[in-house]
Amino acid sequence: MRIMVHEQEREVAAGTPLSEIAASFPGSDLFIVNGCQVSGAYQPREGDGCWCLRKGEMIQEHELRRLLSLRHTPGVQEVISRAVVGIMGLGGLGSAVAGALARIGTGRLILADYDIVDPTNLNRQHFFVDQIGMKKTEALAANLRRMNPYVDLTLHDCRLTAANIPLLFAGADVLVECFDDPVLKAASFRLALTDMKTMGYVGASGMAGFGDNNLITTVAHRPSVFIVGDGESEAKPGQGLMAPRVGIAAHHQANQVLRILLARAGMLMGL
Amino acid sequence: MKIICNGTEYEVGQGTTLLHFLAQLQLDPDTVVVECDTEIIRREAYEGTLLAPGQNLELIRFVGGG
Repeated sequence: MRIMVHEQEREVAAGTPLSEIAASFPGSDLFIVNGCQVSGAYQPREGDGCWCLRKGEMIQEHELRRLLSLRHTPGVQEVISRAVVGIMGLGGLGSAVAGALARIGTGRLILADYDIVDPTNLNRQHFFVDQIGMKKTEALAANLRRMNPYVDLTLHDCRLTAANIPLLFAGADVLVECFDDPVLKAASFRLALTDMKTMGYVGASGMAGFGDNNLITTVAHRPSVFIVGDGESEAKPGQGLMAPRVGIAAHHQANQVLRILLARAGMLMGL
Repeated sequence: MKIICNGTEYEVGQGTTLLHFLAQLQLDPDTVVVECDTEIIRREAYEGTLLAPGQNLELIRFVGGG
């Protein structure tokens, strides 16, 4: 039967374990078949796509792209790789949304924040102690490139306003609102419903403290316009923002971005 | 006169502006997005928008944190 090994067609006897096929890749100890990790005892079936890698070995761009494609399935990955996503605000929400989208191989991320990393950010934002004082755009770009060196990043180190948002994020497929300030949240949501109607939009409101996980929801306001959060839990003295719950909201947002992209590509029903 | 706001009926006086109505609800107008009979009202229009009988308002309020 025929299988694919590192994208090369190979004829093997049915029932051959992967460990035997892996003999051509000395030292390989990490086996991936059709995007899933398997043991060396796995017996590939006709048409399987197999990779025999070494744990800890550096990976090249085409290999990373191929692995993402295998793991996410080729059709889905093509949509993700073509996508342009704008992220407004790089705090607890934005830094986590960016990480999730970089890891899955989003084509281009447009990242905007005017601030620098300060010590009070580190309880929830994806920066490091040695990045205190750096611009958030640059610190996050460095971190994202360590997750996926091949993600295309556009950085805007400036304050966003209702006037400059449409210009700075022109060309984005989906815009993710990750502001702290409720006035900016409302202003950008108004834009999404008026001047930027063709763009997908995922905003957020209410994720401070340590309230119930399941009160964080994703609510549709238009076919491609959503707000994530519990709508109530504002950041205030006695109810601070904390990594766990902000992370729940951020990953609601990131998954909703993915769902909007896939729905627009006709790969997801019901949106 | 009666209006509907987020599914609840409210009695408001003639000449009540949208800004005045939001103040009655103790909402900061800058943090609220208003849809009036499916039309989004621009923030700068809140003061000049007079509520009319039977209008259906949807308010989406944003709280800080992110």
